[in-house]
Amino acid sequence: MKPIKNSYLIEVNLGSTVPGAGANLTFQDYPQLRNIYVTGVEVLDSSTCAISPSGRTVVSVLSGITLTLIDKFNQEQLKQYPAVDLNPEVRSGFYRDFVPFPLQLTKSFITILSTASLSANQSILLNIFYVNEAEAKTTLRPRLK
Amino acid sequence: MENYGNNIECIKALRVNVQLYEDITLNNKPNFRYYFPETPELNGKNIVNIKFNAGANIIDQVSVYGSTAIDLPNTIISENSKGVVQQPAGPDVTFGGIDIDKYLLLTVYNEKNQQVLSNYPCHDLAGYFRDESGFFVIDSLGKIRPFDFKINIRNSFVSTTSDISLLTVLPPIACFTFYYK
Repeated sequence: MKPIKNSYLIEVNLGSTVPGAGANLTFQDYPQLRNIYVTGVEVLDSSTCAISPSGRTVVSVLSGITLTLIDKFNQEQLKQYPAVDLNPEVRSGFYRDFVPFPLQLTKSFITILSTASLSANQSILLNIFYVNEAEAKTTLRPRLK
Repeated sequence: MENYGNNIECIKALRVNVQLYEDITLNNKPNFRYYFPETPELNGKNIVNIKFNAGANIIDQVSVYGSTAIDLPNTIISENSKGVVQQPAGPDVTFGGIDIDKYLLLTVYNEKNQQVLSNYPCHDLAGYFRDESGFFVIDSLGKIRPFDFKINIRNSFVSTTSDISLLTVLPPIACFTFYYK
């Protein structure tokens, strides 16, 4: 695991009715996460964070959820990555870190493959580890080649 | 520390406690901010790890604090004792079976007053993980979270999400160990 420079907790709410299987849920715009390079991602369930910062109940099961992350060149850097594999609590505490890439959060999305154990108004939490663009061009340059 | 994937070595560790609330009527109010006490030793220091001290069996931490507080096995200190100031582990944050670390978020600012950790779940800093059979364990290998930033402890704070109304032990204290260089 690489040292974490910055982290930001983001939330995707399922809405007043649970989306059907196959539905894509896009992320809202977080100004702090514009022009950043992602270095790692965690997806958290209720065992790690029971209530989201907005007061919503966090999902208890991640097995029917995948994550797709799009970079600023509209390329899929992660495609349908199983969310449960990004939960450090069931991966012996490790988080997945990536070769940094410039994230385009508003085009990235979560896919619901199975609605089992999901309830309306629950939220999925993602902890994004990142460095800002200027920092990426200096400290991460060797890794970006 | 290399075994843990963190290639930044700490030279000191310091434990800092944050008292969450004094009034029981405040314990169900979401998004309250509880700032760290003034800790000038940490300001501007390069933080390489933050440990949220938690355990499973201590209920009344007021009575155990400073006396029988458990020593956590999975700290950097135990693996990297050279030049490290050893601190006893902190008191528990489990109250009557309710793990309040699942309801606590940590926000940290750096020396430029930029948020470097925003709503970081404290449970993720506690070393609690599920084993293959689904039981929570404190991982003996110590999967610490490696960080790399300079901290401004004065502006950093712990916040609570809602729904911690079951916590009735006063005063709850969130205990962090900062490893720095």
